[in-house]
Amino acid sequence: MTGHETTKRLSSYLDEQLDERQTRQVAAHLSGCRRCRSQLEGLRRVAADLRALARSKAPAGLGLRLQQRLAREAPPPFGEGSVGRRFPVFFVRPVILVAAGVIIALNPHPSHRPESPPADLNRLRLDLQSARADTEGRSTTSLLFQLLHEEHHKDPESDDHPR
Amino acid sequence: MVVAAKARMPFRAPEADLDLIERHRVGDLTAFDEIFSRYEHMVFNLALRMSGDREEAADLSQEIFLRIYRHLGRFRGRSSLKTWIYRVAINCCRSRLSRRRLPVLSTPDLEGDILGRIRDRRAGPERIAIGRDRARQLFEALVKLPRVYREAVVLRDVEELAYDEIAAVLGVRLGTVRSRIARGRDRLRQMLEEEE
Repeated sequence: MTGHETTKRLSSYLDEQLDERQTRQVAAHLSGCRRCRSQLEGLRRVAADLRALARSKAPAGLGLRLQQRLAREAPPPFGEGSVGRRFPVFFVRPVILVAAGVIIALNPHPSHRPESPPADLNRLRLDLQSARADTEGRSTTSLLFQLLHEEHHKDPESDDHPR
Repeated sequence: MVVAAKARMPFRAPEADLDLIERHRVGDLTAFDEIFSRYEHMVFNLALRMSGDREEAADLSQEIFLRIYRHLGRFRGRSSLKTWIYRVAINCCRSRLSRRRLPVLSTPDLEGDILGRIRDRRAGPERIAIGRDRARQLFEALVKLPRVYREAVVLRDVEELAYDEIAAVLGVRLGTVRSRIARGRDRLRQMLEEEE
């Protein structure tokens, strides 16, 4: 016998992670080497004892504490009241005013409407009408928040490795 | 050939996982509740084994779920939700515990939840006492283990994850997983033998 098995091979042998040839080699070595047998037994015991440790239950108040923290720090994906926390009123108000101005500019009073508006303007009007129909009954804040939410979730660079 | 074809096939998360994520994305608040109740004990246990302290584990669990909530919308289903949650949890433990010098062992944990429920119901009082002592030594040794070995050993021997799952959680190769598990177990073996 010239050498001993490495710890990595013994541990992998224990978990049946070696291929057939390696498994045969390790088994043959173990049959004639007391030292490696003893090391393997020690590793087996550690693994078995770790598995035997009881699993703890999460503390009862964990859910409630998390809920409170979520309410404080992370607003729900939708909902009133959360916009103001992320975007202060001084930012939201001008945006609403500008949006309203654009809508009025594109949809003037009928008395000022030209006889045959350009095709682009007609298409824009149709888009606006269909957008209004889609969002009827919802507040500007909730619509804005939905847009922000959709924008956030369509990030193509997002990955599955949050750090 | 079959193995090679399998290796090239991209992983797709189970439909149930994807459905939960989609519900969360469209604003269904019950989806996150479901995730929390499904994984709270798993997350808490991992945090407890990594930190060695119940209070710390509770705080860590909170951090982990907060991070899950924030990033859930970006989950693309390239792994199972469970693997992804383990990954978030491990990253969270790393960043929080790296700010501390050494994991702190709190005695009440050793006397209570962990040692009090060793799974050998047929054992007599003497065996139970020996078992408790062994579990205390094991727990103490576990928190002294270098972080990379502790992560691998906990994921394998406590959480009972497969090697490829551990590789996905830790973001390392299979060979590295094998080495870390082996070294971690061997260090534990040596520490426990010194105690005997």
